[in-house]
Amino acid sequence: MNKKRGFQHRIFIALIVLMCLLSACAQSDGQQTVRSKEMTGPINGGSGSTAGQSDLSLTSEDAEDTGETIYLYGNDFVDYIAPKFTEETGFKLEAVHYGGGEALAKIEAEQGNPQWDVLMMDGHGSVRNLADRDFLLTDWEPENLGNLSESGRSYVPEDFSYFPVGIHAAGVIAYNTTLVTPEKAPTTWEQFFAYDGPVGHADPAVAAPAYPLVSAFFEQWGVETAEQKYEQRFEAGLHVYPKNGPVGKALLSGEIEVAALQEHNAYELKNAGEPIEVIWPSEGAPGSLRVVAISKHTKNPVAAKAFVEYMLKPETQQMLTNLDSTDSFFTPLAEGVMARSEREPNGAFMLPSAKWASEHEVEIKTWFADQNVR
Amino acid sequence: MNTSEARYGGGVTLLLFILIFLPLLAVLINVIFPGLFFGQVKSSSLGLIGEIWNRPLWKQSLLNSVTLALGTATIGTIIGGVLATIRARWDFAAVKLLDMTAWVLLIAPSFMIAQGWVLFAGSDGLAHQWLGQTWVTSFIFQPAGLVFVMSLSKFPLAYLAITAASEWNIRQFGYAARLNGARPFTVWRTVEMPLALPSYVAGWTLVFMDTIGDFGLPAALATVYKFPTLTYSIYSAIYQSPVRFDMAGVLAFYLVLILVLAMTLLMVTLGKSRFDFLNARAVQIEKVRPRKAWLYNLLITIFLFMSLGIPIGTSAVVSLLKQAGGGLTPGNFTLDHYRELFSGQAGDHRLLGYLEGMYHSLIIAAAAALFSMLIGFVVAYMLTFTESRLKPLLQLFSIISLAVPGVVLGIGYIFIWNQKWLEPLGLHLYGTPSLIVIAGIAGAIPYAVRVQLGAFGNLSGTMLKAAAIQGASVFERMRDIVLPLARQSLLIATLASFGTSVFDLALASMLKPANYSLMPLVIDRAFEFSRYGYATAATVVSCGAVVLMIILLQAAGRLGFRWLDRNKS
Repeated sequence: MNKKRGFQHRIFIALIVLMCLLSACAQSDGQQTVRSKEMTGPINGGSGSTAGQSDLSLTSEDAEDTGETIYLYGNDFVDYIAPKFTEETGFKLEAVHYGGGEALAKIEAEQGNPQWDVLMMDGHGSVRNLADRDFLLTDWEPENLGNLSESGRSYVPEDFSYFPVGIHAAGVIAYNTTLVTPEKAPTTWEQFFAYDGPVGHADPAVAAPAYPLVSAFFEQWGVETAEQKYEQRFEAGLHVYPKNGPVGKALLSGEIEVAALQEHNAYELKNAGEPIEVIWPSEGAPGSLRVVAISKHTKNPVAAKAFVEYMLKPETQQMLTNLDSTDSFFTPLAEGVMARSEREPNGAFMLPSAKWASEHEVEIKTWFADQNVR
Repeated sequence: MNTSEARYGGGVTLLLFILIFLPLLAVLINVIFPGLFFGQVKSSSLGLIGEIWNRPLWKQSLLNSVTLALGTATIGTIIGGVLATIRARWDFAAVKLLDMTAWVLLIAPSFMIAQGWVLFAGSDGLAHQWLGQTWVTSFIFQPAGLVFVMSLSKFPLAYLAITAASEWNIRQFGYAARLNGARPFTVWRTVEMPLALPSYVAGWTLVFMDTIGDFGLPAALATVYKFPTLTYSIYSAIYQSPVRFDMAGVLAFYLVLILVLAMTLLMVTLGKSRFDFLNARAVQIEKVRPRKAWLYNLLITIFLFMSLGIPIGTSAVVSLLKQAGGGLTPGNFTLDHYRELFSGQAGDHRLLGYLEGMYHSLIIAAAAALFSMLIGFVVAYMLTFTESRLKPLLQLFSIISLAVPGVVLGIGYIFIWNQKWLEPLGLHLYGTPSLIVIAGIAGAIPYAVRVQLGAFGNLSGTMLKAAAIQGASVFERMRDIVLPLARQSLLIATLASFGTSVFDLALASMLKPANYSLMPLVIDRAFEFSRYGYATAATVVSCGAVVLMIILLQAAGRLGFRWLDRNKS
């Protein structure tokens, strides 16, 4: 009898042992962090401890934190910024790369038990939406907010639920020079929508900069007119790709002739010597505001706040615009930081208000997805 | 039969309930009570179920899925049937090749096959750039073309089901008819066909279920072609913003409903007989050498070249090119993509780290295969040799996960395992690799059970009864009688489920821990970032490594068994 029961138990024990083994191996990979009280607050040493006053003021509050690794969900810079931040401040940060839609979905999926601490992504409308639904920490004013330029300050919401870091073009007009002559190429968005030939852009439900792109048109023209223009555009040939990478690829292969392409991708292709020309429309490029926000349920508010302060520092932003990566194409919002010289120096932005973009998010995305299959 | 057997039965039933049925239940419950799993109770009207007809995207997905599955099942069964008939009757060189291809296609993940096709037929693909065949693009990227591609990769299910049936039982009737002067075709039409019909229906349903539940192909095609299917819309309902868990539940409900209908069709047709695909008791019958063997060889080889050669071959070629669209010049060949795989540096995103992903995937798949085999063994034992009252439940649970696609299982797992109250219990498995293992076990159990049922079907229960009378416990009966007799098929079952779980994209993409690299994800992502060289090199290395591993382990198993036998005697 004992033997019989033994076998059955062995299966369960084996399963449990396996789970433990696996979670142990995950811990060593830094996926799941050990609950230990050994580390409360920043590691001192390195260049970090002298990094600025904001850090000093933070250490005094460190009793709040568990000292665990905090998680950043983001769509740009993630691999780069995490080690830099840890090196300078001592707080442990694990950055997870997601597409914009993916990050929002993940946050939604985890709402019963959030696994993230800080969010950094394009699209202030979507982040406003999270704030309105009480996902974000509010009413905390970072000290480094004073570093922001005038336009930067104008993007800061009253409830301090998120903080603007940079802005870039969610879409500039890019065309394939082997297929389109400069005379024929559209130079305004009206012309883009009226272009006689296949055009394309990324899917607002999936790619982070694509909702800012689409919502800018909807706000500019009004929902009804924008829907009409898109309906016509779909009929005349509008290819929608999940992300901007495939849009660029399709532009090169000739599947589409003109694209509303995120500026990173557009300049990357142009600088690589591909037959691509970039136009920054004079009425402005739909802007994609990159913001940082803290989870309301973070167990490590001190570390999370330190990250926000870090992102608002001119030094950090300068470092990011100096990066040898296309991510560095953006307009920094801290005062006195130089942007990349290769891009349009006086490019204007079309940016719907966060409130408007947030309120129309579901409606526009749903409408768009449905148009796309018709 | 006795209490200890009941306890085993209860144990595995509970396990299958937690692993397979509960996640499905959670998804369906969420339709009625959205937010329940986030700790809020909101009532919902069942009107949501009808919303699928109002939203064009969802309606289109449903229609696309059904069209694709019906078309693929029909054409796949025709292909499988023709091949199985030829296979059962004639003996020629290409037969071995056919069997091997069928197994490779069965294990090969559909997203890899789809990527091969995309690279071949896409607007910057090989057919376009090298062969100048522009019609290929327009042919493949339309519904009929997708049915064609799917049929070429899913026909093995029908082929194996029909082969299994046409290889035994009915020969003697055929001989009787032949003795009475009937021609081969008449024999096939009047004797073999009617007898084989259940296996055709079985083959058809299996292809249908596999196609409609498939996630990999739509996921891989999503980058180039807008053809939303149910599984992809479920995935996108939860992995896009705005997130619609409720709607994902509704879509999953429809998907499961369709699968249940297909399953019912299968059950009714087969009566109470078992699924006989994937089994290990192929009885070799003497086959006749056809008169024009070369013609058979040629035709079969051409067909196999299309079904496996195009997708895999394209991947292999692209993995060696500097630029996918760059042409067939010596200067365009490179081994850099392979070097990059092993250099450990993956460029922009850590998730592209191939070696790490491969290592994780192999370990997870090995654990999933081992445990699913173990659980499958107990389940098959219960189903074959006992009179347990839990048998119907066991049957149901073990089949359900065959019908529940990975995407649906994935949401269910998120709902159940990301609960705050699990944390103090140490059972908060969401965001850990263990959850992928558990989900992998759930996915592999139906296969493990089916294979072992096939193997146990050959064993006589009298030996076990005799042993029981002599006082052998259930465990001893399992260990000393059933295990040695069924070990070869156990090994094959384990290896097969290892092969499939290594490449499982759906569960990997839904349940992976943050920044945790897994091999199918590495490939999928590289593909998404248009890094075709890297993606295809990873495909080639992964497929090669897994096939090699399976062959080696099988050989090692055979040697090991022989050694065991020698030592015993």
